[in-house]
Amino acid sequence: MNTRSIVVVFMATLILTGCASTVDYSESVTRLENAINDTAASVNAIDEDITARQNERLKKNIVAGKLLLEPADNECAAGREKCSLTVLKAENGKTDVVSVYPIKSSMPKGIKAIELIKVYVSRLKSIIDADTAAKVTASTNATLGSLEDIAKQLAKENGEATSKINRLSDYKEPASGFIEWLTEKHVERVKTEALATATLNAHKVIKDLTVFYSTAAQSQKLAEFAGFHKEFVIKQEQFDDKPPNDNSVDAYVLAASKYQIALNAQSANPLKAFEIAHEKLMNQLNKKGEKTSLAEVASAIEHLEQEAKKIKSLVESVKEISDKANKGGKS
Amino acid sequence: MTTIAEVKDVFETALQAINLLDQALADERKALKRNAFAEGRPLTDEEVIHRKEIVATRVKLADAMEVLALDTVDALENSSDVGQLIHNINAVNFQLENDLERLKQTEATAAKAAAVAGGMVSVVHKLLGFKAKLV
Repeated sequence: MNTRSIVVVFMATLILTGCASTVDYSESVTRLENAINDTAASVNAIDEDITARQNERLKKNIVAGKLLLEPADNECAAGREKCSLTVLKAENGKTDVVSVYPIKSSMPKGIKAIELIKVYVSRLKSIIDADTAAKVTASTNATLGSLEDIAKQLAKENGEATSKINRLSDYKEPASGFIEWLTEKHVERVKTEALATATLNAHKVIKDLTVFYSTAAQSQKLAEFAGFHKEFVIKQEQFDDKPPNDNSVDAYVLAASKYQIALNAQSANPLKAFEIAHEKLMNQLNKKGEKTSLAEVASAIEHLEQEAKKIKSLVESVKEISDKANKGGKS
Repeated sequence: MTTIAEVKDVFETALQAINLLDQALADERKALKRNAFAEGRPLTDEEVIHRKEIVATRVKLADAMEVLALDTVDALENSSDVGQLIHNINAVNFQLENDLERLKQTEATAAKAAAVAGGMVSVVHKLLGFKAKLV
C-alpha cells in the first residue's frame, strides 16, 4: 500500500466514525421557523383583541367622567412637533397619566419578545445553513492547485525528472481531502457549540414566555367570556321576570346555546408546543436529559406545526364567535 | 413588582374565586325558583327581590371578569421579569450573530489564502519568464 492509499484509508475511517451533522437539523429548524410565524400571528391577534377592549374600557371611563382626555405634555400647540392624547386620573388632588389614548398595543414587550424569538429561530437556521465548510474547501483546493502549479514550475526549472513532477500531483488529492475533513470537523464543532449554547440559554426565556402568553391568552378568553356571561344572566332574568311564552322560551334557549359556545371555547397556549419542540432540540444538541433522537425532535416539531396552526385559528375563532353572537343578538 | 409566574397565580386564584361565587349564586337562584315551583306558587315579592339581587351580583361578576382579564395583561406587561427575558433573548441572538460572523471569517481567511496563492503563481510565472529572457 503506497503513502497515498494509506492517507485515503485513514481519512475514510475517520469520516465513517464521525457524528451526525448539523445539516441533519436543517429541516427541523426550517419547520420550527414556519411554526413560530403562526405562533407570532396568534400572539398578535391576542394583543389586538385585548388592545381593543382596553381602549373601549378607557373610552367608557372618559365618557363617565372618571378619566380626563387631554393632549400629552408639551404637545398639540403651535410650534410643537407632536400631537397625541393621554388619559389622566385624579388622585389626592393631583393628576397622573394613565396611558396614551388610544393605546396601540396592550403588550408591546410581549410582542417584542415574540419578534425576538423569531429572530432567534432564523439565526439558528442561518448557522445550520452556513456552507462554510464547502466554501473553505473550495478556497483550499484553489490554494493547493496554485501551490502545485508553483512547485511544478520550480521543479521543471531545476531540471528535475518528469516522474518526480508527476508525483507532486499524487499528494494533492489526499491532502485536499484531509483538509476538507479537518475543515468540516472544525466547522461542525463551531456550529454545534453555537447551537447547543444558544438553545440552552434561550430555553429558560422560552419557558417563561410560554407562561406569559398562556396567561395572556386565558385573559383574552376570559374577557370574551365575560360578555357572554353577562348576556346570559340578563336574558335569564328577562325570562324569569314574566310568565313564559313562545318567544321568551325560544330566546332563553338561544341564550343558553350561545353560552354553551362560550364555555366550549378553549384557551390557547400559543408557545407551549414550541417550548416542547425546542426542549427536544436543546436536549439533542446538548446530549442532556432523556435521550432524544433526531426523529423525536422532528416529531415534536411536526406536532408544533399542527398546534401553531390550530391555535392561530382558535384565536381567530374567538373573535368570529363574538362577532356572530353580536350579530345574532342584534337580529 | 410581581413576576410573570406570580401574575399567573393571582389570575388563577381570582378566577377560581369568581367562578365559585357565580356557581353559588346560580345555585341559589335555582333553589328559589324550584322551591316555589314545587310548592305550586309564584315567587314571593321578597324572593323576587332576592333573585334580582343575585342577577345584579352576577352581572357585576361579569364586569369583574373583564377587569381581571385586562388588568392581568397589564400586570404581565409590567412584570418584573419580562424586561430581563427580552434582554436575555437579545443576548442569545447577539451571540448567534457573532458565531455566524466567526464562520464567515473562516470563509474569508481561506478565500484570502487562495487569492495569495493564486497571486504567487503569476509572480513565479513572471519571474521564470524574466529569467528565461536574461538567459
